[in-house]
Amino acid sequence: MVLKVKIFKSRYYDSVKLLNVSKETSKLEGIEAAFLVMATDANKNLLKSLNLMTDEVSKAGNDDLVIAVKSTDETLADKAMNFAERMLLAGEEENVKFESLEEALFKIQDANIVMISTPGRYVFDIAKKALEHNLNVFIFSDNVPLGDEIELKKFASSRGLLCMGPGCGTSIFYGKVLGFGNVIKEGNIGIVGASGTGIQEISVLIDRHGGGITSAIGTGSNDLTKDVGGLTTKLALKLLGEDDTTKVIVVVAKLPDVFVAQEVLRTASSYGKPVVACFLGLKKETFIETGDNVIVVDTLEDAANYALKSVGMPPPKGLPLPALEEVNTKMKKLRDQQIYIRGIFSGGSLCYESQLIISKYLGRVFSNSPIRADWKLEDPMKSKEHTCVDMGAEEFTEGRAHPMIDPTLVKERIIEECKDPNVGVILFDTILGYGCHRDPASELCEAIRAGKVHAGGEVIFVTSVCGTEKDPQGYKYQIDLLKEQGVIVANSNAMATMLAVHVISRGRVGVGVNQ
Amino acid sequence: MNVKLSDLKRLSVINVGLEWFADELEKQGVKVVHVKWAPPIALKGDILSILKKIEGE
Repeated sequence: MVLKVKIFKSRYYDSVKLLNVSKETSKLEGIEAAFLVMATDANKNLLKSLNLMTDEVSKAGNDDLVIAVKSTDETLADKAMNFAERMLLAGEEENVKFESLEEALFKIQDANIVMISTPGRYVFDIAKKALEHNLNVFIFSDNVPLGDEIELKKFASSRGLLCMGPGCGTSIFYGKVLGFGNVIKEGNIGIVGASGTGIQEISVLIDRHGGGITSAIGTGSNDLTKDVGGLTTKLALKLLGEDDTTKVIVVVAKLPDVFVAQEVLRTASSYGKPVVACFLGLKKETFIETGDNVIVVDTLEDAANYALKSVGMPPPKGLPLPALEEVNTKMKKLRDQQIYIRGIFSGGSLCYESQLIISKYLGRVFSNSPIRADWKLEDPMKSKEHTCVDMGAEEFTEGRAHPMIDPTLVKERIIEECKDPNVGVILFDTILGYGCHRDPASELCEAIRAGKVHAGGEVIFVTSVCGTEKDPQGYKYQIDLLKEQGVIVANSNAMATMLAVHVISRGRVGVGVNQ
Repeated sequence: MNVKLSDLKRLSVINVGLEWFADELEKQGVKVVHVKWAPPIALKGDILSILKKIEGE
């Protein structure tokens, strides 16, 4: 086996472009593996685990490009290396309209948003420049220093501009998606969220039951922390509060600071519209004096249901369950030792919601983003007992595409979990919409097929598809693919989790989501 | 500035970073331009001090 590695100092390409070239190069004759990555620590670890590490790579820095090719033949490896380099160069000028932000700011007079997805350490200067030009910013990047975030948000607030993010996964304005988001009917519900997949899950459930949204404004996951103080959330509430079309406001966040959350509810309530709040990780009983027009709920699904009710839409009459008989038949095939759930998620809030539900019935759940500090996985790569892993967390995404775009790590993890003889259920999310992978179900099914080979017995796969019929991937098509592989497909993440709990408890816990 | 929700009815986006997002906006019919971005070149200390001197002069 021949390993060829080239390092290109200070040559930057974005992670999605590198992913595409890696895929095309891997398909060439005689190539066992081809990886093009920026030399971040996370990517170096990946190369190490794949035996593609060299001394040269270990010394490379974050801004250096690595091309690693493994082949059965030296000539074919050289050919692949040349192909990869040519493909990078060929795609280089494809869509570039401007060489610098300054040039774009000068020439695009009607711009109203700057979208930023550079590595986190470079975000501040770009975002500050955009805000100085009176433009709103949508910052997808993670790993932005907290001090930078606070300064940017204070500056934006002082100008009445939206600073969505850092770490903002989703915003939808009048049907147009920034980042990851679904095609949602336009309507009269407004959403503010410090939780990208929280926004996605609520908005698709609203859409599926006949409702619609005016807009959904993402704020970045840190916004309701004590340090940031809800700066973007408050401004977003003002936008929705003063908008005549928006009749009800939904606020969603994952484990906010309790005082900030209370302040946010007071602000939301002050516009006199019905407010539905879901603060995952804080019980609704925490909020007692929130105003008559405010209702606090515990799950994303309840947030969607109450929002629909508030605009006079009939609440769904209990969501249809997948054929329970099928679930119970599969359950009976499990061996006694198969007692654990392993949740593999691309969506952080879905991961969090599942942990809350599992822990309610089955006790502790380990995670890299745990609901309790003492339930944190020592090594995010290794699950134990009941585990839910957030594969979109910073430790998995530095220098590589988010798992909603590139599900490679999710697939590897699914296969890995199947090897554990104590695992009975693999729970995962399937996320559709703009920004996301064009066919996630096919990718996940590939992993499921491989996982079944390793499992040596029955393992039950449960998912929910976060999507709508108008999403580019096709909601029904994605569900059909998963069902063909024997996956149990629930209508929401909360219900998928309840089904997982039902199976692992061997039917002792019922499947009604609201029980 | 004080942005209003209705100001965002027509999005016009400048995209810096993942070109994928510019493509996704284009598919939705959103006006978008992509800016070529690369990390600023890290200058060694001596070059940086020379540049600062020049700037100071």
